[in-house]
Amino acid sequence: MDRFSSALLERFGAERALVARDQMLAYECDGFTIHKSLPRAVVLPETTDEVQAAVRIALAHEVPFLPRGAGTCLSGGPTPTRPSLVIETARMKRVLEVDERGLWAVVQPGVVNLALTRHVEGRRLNYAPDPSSQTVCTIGGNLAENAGGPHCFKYGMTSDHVLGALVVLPDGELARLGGPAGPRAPHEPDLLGVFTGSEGTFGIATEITVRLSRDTEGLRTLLGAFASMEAACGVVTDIVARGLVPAALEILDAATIRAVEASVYRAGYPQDAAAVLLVELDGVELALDDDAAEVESIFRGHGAISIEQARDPEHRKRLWKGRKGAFGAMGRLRPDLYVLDGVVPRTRLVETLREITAIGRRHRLTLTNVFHAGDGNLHPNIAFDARDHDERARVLAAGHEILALCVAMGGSISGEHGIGSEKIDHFRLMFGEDDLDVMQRVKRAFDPRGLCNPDKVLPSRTACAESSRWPAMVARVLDAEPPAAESGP
Amino acid sequence: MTTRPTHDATDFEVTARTAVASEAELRAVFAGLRDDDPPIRIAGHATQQDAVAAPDTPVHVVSLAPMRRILRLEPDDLTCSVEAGLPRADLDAALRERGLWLPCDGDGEAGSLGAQFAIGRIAPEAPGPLASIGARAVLLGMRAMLAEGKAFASGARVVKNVAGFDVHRLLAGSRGRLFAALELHLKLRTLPRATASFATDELEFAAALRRFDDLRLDSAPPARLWLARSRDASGFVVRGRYDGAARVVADRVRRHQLEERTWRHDDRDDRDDSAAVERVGGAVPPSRIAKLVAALPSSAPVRVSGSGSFVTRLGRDASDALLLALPALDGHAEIERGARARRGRGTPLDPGAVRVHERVRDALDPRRRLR
Amino acid sequence: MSDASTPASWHANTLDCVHCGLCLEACPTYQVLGTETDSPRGRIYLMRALAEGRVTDTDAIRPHLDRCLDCRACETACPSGVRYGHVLEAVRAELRAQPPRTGRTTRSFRARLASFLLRAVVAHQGRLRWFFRFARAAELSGLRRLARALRILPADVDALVPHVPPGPARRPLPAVVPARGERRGRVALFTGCVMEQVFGEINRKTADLLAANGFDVVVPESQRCCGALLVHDGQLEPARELARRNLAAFADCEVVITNSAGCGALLRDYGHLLDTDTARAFASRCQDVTAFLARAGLRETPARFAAKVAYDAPCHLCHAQGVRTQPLELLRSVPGLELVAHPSAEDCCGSAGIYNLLQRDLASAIGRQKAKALATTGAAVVATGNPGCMMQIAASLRAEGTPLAVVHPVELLLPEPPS
Repeated sequence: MDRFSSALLERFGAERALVARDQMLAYECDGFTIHKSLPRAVVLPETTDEVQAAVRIALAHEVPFLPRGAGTCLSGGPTPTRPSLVIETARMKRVLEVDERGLWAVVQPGVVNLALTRHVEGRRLNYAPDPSSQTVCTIGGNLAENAGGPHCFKYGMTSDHVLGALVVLPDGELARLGGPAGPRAPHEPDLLGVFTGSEGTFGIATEITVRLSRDTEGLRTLLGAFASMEAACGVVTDIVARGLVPAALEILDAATIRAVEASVYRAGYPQDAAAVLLVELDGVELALDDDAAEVESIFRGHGAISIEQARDPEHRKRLWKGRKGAFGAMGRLRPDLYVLDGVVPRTRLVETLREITAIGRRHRLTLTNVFHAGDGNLHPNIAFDARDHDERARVLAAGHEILALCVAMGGSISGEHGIGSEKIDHFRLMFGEDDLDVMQRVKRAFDPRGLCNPDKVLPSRTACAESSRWPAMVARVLDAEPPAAESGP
Repeated sequence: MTTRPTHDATDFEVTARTAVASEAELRAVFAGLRDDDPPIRIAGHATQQDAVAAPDTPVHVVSLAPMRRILRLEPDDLTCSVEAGLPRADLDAALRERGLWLPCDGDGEAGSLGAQFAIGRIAPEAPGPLASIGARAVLLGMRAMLAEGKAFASGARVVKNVAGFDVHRLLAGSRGRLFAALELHLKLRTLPRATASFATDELEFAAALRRFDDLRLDSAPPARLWLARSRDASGFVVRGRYDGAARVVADRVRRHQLEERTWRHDDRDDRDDSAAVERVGGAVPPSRIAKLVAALPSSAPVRVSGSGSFVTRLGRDASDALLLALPALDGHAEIERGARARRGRGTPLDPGAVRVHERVRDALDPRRRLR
Repeated sequence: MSDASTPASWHANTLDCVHCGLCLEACPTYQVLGTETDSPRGRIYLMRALAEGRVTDTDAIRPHLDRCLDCRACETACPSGVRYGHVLEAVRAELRAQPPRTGRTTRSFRARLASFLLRAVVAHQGRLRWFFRFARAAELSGLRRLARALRILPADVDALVPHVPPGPARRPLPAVVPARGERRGRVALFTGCVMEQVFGEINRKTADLLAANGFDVVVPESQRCCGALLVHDGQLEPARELARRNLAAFADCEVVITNSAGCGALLRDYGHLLDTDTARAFASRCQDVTAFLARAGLRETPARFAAKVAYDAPCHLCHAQGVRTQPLELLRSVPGLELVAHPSAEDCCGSAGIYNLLQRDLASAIGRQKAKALATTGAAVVATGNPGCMMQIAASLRAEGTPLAVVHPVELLLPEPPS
């Protein structure tokens, strides 16, 4: 056994240090399964000291390292690009402090998003950010990725709810950024702000101070079905223009409705609809009925085929069922699922969606759209079989075209999933060489040795920025060795 | 571009003042800078120079005041892009015309948007879901320039984006010492349908804090909320504003037995203070407001928001005592206004954070041209 | 190792997993260990790699597959409908058939002994009855205490295994227990192996409850152990043999009632195990006693039971059989009974067949979580419909010093005895 492995085993023991090659298989990817790469070892620290120890062992052996939460990331954030040490935070799941009157809590990074809300729900409090994977994803991962979710339109992203973090920097030293009084002192810049969303490349947060929110009094959930996507998007524009601020505004397109209705997630959405729009209002009981009536009238004004309002929690669950099951329903169609993530200005949703559908058709792919309409945050889903080389290449090509489209519309290549390794080749669609240079300098300020989750977010500057027909990722996949499944041992 | 020697009423030495009207002009200023030239202080309209730390050497003040265009305003997308020198008041007026507003503190205050972000006093006021954490929630992206003349962008113009590192977040509190912001992309909201301002009569501190906490911890808290003791007053008032649907706003005012009353902060213009009085601004976790007030002299004017950010005016000894007391309350603060040698002093910063900050400065302005 | 050109039959099932990870928190071993290799997603991934010939040393992954409780909570959480249990059981069978690659064995003595006992004793009703006669004698004569003192019987095993009830309680039920009052139908009762020997009283009460509510209860003499423990252990062939015998024993029974969730889950999965139409038809006739009675309706009001009760859902009832609301409905009809909230009712208790004997540390860590959760409910009694869970929960409660009584739901549903 090599010295690096021995050092890990000695410090963490066999239960908390995995070093066997075959164990690494389970860690070779996250929710983005197209990029796979074996780590060198995995450790499971339980304290800040142990995270520091793990980082120092890695540094001493010149081994790259990276943090990992629940591995639900959809952009390859916790997938090593080189044989690295994965620092898994799953055992760091203690809620360290709750200040009910101060409306904040301090948690370890492995605390599951929903578990924090469960922890404080008896006090009429909650942790507002709710990514779709909130039953399993960790707050540390949310911080690293600046996670979003369906309720961002009203409540903002993770960055709007993080007050402080104790960070093990990539050189093994500690830094305390922000705290319960706020993310920065008046006489310092917002270092926590730039740390948030740095995708595990600036260090590892080991204690995170988050803001808690008061539970609202009530909820109203409405579902409208429309004969055209224009109508559904028009409703969203009207709702926003009138100053209503729903907690969620979610749209499913016709292809998603068909996939959902054909699956176990059947929610009774009208199958002839081109789009269904789910609107959730929350706030003061007194206003909710008026607001719901107003939303209904906006629905009618745009010629809704059908309108449904949840009568009780069971009914609400049913209305949400199709939305929540959309990814699962797509997953059942084919062995693999690629969930894309892009943003366009809300007013350009309709034309963007039309173009995305055309791209899917051109590449002969099973493509559907589910999206956070209030934010213009699109999630085209492509169901495919990664073992089919040609199809896999077509998926990646379509993904690239869709992201280029989002940028051309004035939007972004990622609203909430991050760049990771997935979109590193798309980075230049949005940013120029000078932007890249400045971001690289900031990265080096945090990680001078470049060992903390390397080759993520920023493309290498030596790699030529020439325009080629395919982005490098597609080219790599096309040129890659066939996967082991086909070659065998 | 106009450059002139200066004898303005700053209490630090200014060798020259230049106002730039474009990115190209700023680049030209940076390009013309020789190693032995005085370093540069980036300013907006230079109205806040006596309210931030003074430079430690004579400086050339470069003002972005002529860069004051609204570049793009998309009411349906709820976003806009502005030049950094645009006065906040101009933007607020343009937005109000279209039924919009910039949902963060600092409205009605002097200075440009760039300065508001860079000085970093845009603190969250509201305890509710629309509250921002400082500049973060509204600043979607920016275009900026390093002292070496390199212009760059970060973030995006859309309301949701996680692409690349959010270098624009470093603007908040950077005081122009990392880069000069040129354009800001901002997130907007539709104006609330109804508002109701309220204020209580003067109350004993304990009673005022109880009312403040009741409102702050309500499931539908006011959009703005303050607990304040005026100069020369012995008691505290609670004041704030509800935003929202008319029925809700009226109901909350009734339910909490509040009196609708317009108010304005009476501490906005503190330039008349004697030199011995310092303005100290900072924040404590809102659960520790009682301890904050206990740490102040009983006559000190103070104003604390629902999220725990505060401003107070103190004599030197009292501000030193407060800066010493705050870490135990998990709070932090800085002397905002006062004698040149005193401004910018604050609660001790975490050494790790200071180290990172220095490394970021090394990376973005290695020659320390920005002071 | 399977030939790469003909991947194992279960390989296709692993492809349903899209690697979303929504199963992670449902998994008891992941919750304790935090390792991806001990999560459902990670295990599926390892099993898929195995089928695809990417695993170089099966011994490195075997312990992770052995640690799975097969509780199937992940199947409930899975949005893509992966049939995890089927994949795991097939892989365990395949790994069992392979000699360890390195010559060393990763299976403990205990695991091998357990495999042997399952095959040689539990699978044979007669031998099992003898075994328990011996165990009872050992208890009475102080042999059990002696064995414990000499550490032949490890303390944890001793703590887990309840005292063997006296002979009469272990006597098989009569062939028919006739309905009382107006007759509503006829059902067959599956009595199970452990259930009959350790919890014979509950079988008797189940028959009583059904009879009191108007059902003739037949108890076929030729029925055997369901084979669930063998399936979990990867011993598919002996399990199939038992299944075929049970098919024959219950051939003419319209409704087969189980009161042990673990047995019920396998009986209802005989279609998959045997892959014949007869087996599938049989499987569809099997029902848990609570599901059956909730549907038929209780004719007799249960006896008054004034206590706070927490219902704990056996994994093989809620996750494997999808029976969730019926036990709660029935318990709510008990006069005086206050059903308390138990948010983690569907979390595994760590019993999982003989898991608690093989993976002591993990099982007791999982069991402790269960006991702690139960302690916070404020209940005086916990009701759960599976013998293994009853034993494990009772042992965990004792270890935590929490004085809750453990009962089978059936025990709370019996009407007042006729005076």
